[in-house]
Amino acid sequence: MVSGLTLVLAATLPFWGESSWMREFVEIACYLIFAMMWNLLAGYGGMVSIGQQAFFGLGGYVMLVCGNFAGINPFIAILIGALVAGVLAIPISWVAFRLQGGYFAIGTWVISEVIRLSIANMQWVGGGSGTSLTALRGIDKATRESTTYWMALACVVLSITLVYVFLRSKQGLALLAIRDNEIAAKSQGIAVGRMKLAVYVVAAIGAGLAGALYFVGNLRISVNWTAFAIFMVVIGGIGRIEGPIIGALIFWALNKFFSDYGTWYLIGLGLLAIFTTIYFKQGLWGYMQQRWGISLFPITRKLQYSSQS
Amino acid sequence: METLIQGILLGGLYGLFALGLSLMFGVMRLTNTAHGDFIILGSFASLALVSSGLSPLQTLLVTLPLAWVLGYGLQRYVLNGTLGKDPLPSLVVTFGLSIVTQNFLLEIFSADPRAIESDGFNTLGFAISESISIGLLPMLILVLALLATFFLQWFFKNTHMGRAFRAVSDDPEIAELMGLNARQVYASATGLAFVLISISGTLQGMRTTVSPSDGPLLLLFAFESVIIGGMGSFWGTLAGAMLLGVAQQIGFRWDSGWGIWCGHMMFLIILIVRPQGLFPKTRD
Amino acid sequence: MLDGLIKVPRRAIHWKGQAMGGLPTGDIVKSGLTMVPEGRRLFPSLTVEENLMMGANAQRKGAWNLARIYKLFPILKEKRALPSTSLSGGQQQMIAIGRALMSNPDVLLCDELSLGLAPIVIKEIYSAMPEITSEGMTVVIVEQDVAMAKLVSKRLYCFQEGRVSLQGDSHSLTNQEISHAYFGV
Repeated sequence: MVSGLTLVLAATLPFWGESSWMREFVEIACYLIFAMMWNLLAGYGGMVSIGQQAFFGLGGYVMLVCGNFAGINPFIAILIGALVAGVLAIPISWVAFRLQGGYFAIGTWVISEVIRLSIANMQWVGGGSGTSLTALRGIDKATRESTTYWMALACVVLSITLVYVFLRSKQGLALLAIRDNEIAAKSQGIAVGRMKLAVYVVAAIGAGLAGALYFVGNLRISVNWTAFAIFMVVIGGIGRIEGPIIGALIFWALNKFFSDYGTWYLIGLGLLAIFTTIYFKQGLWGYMQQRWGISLFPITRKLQYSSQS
Repeated sequence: METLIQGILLGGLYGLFALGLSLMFGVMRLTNTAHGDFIILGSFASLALVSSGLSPLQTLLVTLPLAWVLGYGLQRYVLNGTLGKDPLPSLVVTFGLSIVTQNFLLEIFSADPRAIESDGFNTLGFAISESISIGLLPMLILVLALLATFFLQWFFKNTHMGRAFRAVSDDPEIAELMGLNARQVYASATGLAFVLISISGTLQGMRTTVSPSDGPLLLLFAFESVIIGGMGSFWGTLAGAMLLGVAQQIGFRWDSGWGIWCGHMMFLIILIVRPQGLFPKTRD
Repeated sequence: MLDGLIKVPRRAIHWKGQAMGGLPTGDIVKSGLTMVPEGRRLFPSLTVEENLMMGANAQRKGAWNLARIYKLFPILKEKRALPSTSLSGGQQQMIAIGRALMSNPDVLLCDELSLGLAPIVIKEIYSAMPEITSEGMTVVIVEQDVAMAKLVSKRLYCFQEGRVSLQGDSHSLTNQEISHAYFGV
């Protein structure tokens, strides 16, 4: 109910809001989608990946290639970018899944480094990070901004809906079972391997979406994406949908006010993440949920004991 | 031929990097994402001490005990709380430490690459044939790596603490039944790992320039060495490190931009073809 | 619970006149109470002899040492340098018992010694009991094989849902009484 109203309100923003608000939103959208997908992967899938920025970059570059060289409408190119990221996640998983736990995390980092180095050395995509989207140059500023904004909004809604529906479904329950006890889940006939792959692919699609969106919005934030995703999810709350949303907002706010402090800001972030992990395992939203029992997107199921003597 | 030798010598250093990581993971299944950053911290600590007059190897007299204390304390009071079935807390905390360490160093030392002055020691070498000469420092590093590996292997097998390491890594609960204090044993393991980290850091700073953000790449090298070599064996880790070194050198010869990429490739190939590594030691 | 592996309130358990609930496992073992855990739970990375030596970690003085354990279970001496989990189930049980004995406890708890073992092996293991208790060590055996339990013990306690439902001299209790206590029939 609340979300519905917020959504309607948000959709009308271009008509009454300032253009800088729209840019900010696109930035938040990128953070949010990326964090949500990281949350899905780590919090629900139990796979902690430090290499999701690979998919982010891939989504972005594919979008750029489609937009700049193939003349495809950038907004469709975003979706293509996301899908390609998802498709590439499949062969990548063949390698990454050979590792578990902490070593899986670092392994994903190596893989993302390989991808980054390979692309950086390939001149035709524009080498480093200098490329920007030329296809949008012709359209006037206002339209470009509002369309980008609506696209971002659509992506956010899409991501949240996707995750919500997935987690409430039978597959989502299976995922929780796997996370809690993989061997027991296997013995119940759950196809663990396929589930993990599915989650990994979905997370990749999401990361690619965020990446493509980032380039469409011509954002120029230099960000250690995974570090920030970790921060957003840990502070906001692991394993809940609202968590990454809160985390993304907090992070965006912190960025606005403190990023000028450079290294001290980052030190503060690091310490905050450490502190939260040790003392507030469930994150901010988790804590709030425990204390006041609110849930915007209810997906946790409660076991009710029927009263028996 | 020279590439091979250079690769093996480089592998010696990577081996020192990797032994600490392997130790921590072996005893308590802890992946320290800040491993590389602590190595760099060690480099800068030595750097700072050298500027006050000590020779690089003398700085070790200060940094090694400090490293033990830091490692012990970190494990005992911060990291022990993150151990458990879920790898996320330890990854997040060590990741946070990585960011804090990097930026802390950045703040104090700025981003310029520095090297530890060793009065030309790092340029000394001897010729083993007409065209090939080996640096004295890389040779020293290799010898230290061999010594360290031998020491760890011996330590685990023959000392009471080594047995304690193995016992708590097998079954912390039953180790407690034997009267061992798992928390303290873990802390000692990390203390030892940090001593290795500290040595690696000093040597790295002597061999080449270091800058605050070098850490993560060193972590990757250490990690790749462990995986290529196979888990559970220190000699395996050293062998893996040498293989990595050779792969990287081959890449560098081919094109200087692709050296590290080649190392990554070697890692990926091993992971795909023989995921348990080349010399794994399986345990029930 | 008794060995501190599951936490309970301090007053819940009394031992040697002191409240002991919830103390660290190491302290409990040092004061003379240890156990042979269910499922053996040997250290796979340690050899047979190293497992036994681990047991002496609590450094309690007493009659049990490596030599005597080897006399009790000669096969262990033969295989002492092998990885502990490479031995057969019965031999592993011997290691587990030996390991516990090395801490020279006053009271030894044995949890399901016969689990997964063939009858002839079970007999062999239980035949070591008289030697173990010869100096006055108290051994508490948790055993589902009632006949075996009756045979090797002096006193029998039946538990039903956490409460003692029957106790008495092992030799004088009849099978009928035990069935009734066990199954409530």
